[in-house]
Amino acid sequence: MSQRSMRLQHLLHIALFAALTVALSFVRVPLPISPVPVTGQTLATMLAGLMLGGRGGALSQLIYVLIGAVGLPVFGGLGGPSALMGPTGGYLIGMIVGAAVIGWMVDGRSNVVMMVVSCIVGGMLVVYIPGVLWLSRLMVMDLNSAVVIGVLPYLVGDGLKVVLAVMLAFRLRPIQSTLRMDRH
Amino acid sequence: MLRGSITIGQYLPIESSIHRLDPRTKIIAVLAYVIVLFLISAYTGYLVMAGLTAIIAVLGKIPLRMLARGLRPILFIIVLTVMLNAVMTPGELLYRIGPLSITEEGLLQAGFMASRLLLLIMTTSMLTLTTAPIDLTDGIEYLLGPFKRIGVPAHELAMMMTIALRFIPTLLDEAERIMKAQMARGADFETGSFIQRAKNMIPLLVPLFISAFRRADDLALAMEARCYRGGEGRSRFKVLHMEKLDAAAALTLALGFSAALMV
Repeated sequence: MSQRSMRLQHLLHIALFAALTVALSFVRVPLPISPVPVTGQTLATMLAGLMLGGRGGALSQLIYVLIGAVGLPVFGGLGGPSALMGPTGGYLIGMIVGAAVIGWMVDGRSNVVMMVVSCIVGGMLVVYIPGVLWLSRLMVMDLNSAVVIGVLPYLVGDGLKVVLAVMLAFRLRPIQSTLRMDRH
Repeated sequence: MLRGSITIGQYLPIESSIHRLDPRTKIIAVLAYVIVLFLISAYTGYLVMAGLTAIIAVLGKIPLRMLARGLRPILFIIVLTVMLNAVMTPGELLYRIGPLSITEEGLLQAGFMASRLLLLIMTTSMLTLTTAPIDLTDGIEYLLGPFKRIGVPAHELAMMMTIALRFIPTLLDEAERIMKAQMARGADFETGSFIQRAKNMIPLLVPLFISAFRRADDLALAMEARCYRGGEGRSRFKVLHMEKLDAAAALTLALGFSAALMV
């Protein structure tokens, strides 16, 4: 295959991953211990980083956010540019950066420990930091209470998502070789 | 959720002069509106901006309840902002409720913040109410065009967005089909402990991902076979046109914005 068609194929993988992120954002599993349901959004962020690499993963999440910005109800039933400025706006930025961090940390290796660590750093930490900062700024509350409402309810679910993401990445390894641009 | 309605998002498919405006005009107008909104320092300025918003809503035939629906998610924030500002700002005392004192300056400040937030949310949501996602994507591609030189992949971004939009309903249908197929084989997506339910997602997600990437590969092949070679020299099926209406809108808004900044 020519260099150009490899590139096109990579771009389309990113596009379809953005669509998969939208599909996953409709998956909701209610949590018994908290009122906030677990959604598939950050699971998609982790998988994007693991499977598409840093650049591709971040691009797929950027496209997901843009799709929400042009009006699709992909942010927990909300959409439009106003949703970006709403309380969850920070997390959306975090998802883009998070996928990049995961991709760069893992860098194509399939080392389970490294994958789990990168998902915890990129898929949880990097998503929470801008999320909480934006939340506390917008709602004019101190950081502690922002962490209580913006991080604690998600911890269990996100921990599970890390496990699920790594399991899925392993199951999907047979198709992985075609997904990463920088491998060629 | 209705598959057909999902890709039009918040778009309200009716005929109006605002709907007919070029998406580029609307995107730039909303950006300018937001900037002006943050530059205004007098109450009268907000009145002018509210007037502009009302004109757009009327011309765009946007039902009031649609605008109100857009406000619902941030209503709590507006109420919170108003209360905090009313209580926290020092100044001339108006009322005292227990330890809280409401000041004149506080009320003014609260009114300021609330009108800014209300106008911000209403006007930005009018953009998505009157423009279809795919037209907005086109507009974004055109507007990012000049930034290609500094490495912004405007065409590629818009192409990927369009394809993602196109495949969202397909993937949702696919997910439902896979779910039914796995349920016929005895898979259980509805019950079980939380961890069990998370694990049960694997037989759904693995085929969904594989089929999505297979679609991407097929599409790449099909585009390649039709000599797709990026945005360079590409002709379009739908060309965006600026018309007199856009000039009229730009002029009206420019007048309105300067009035809002000067009063």
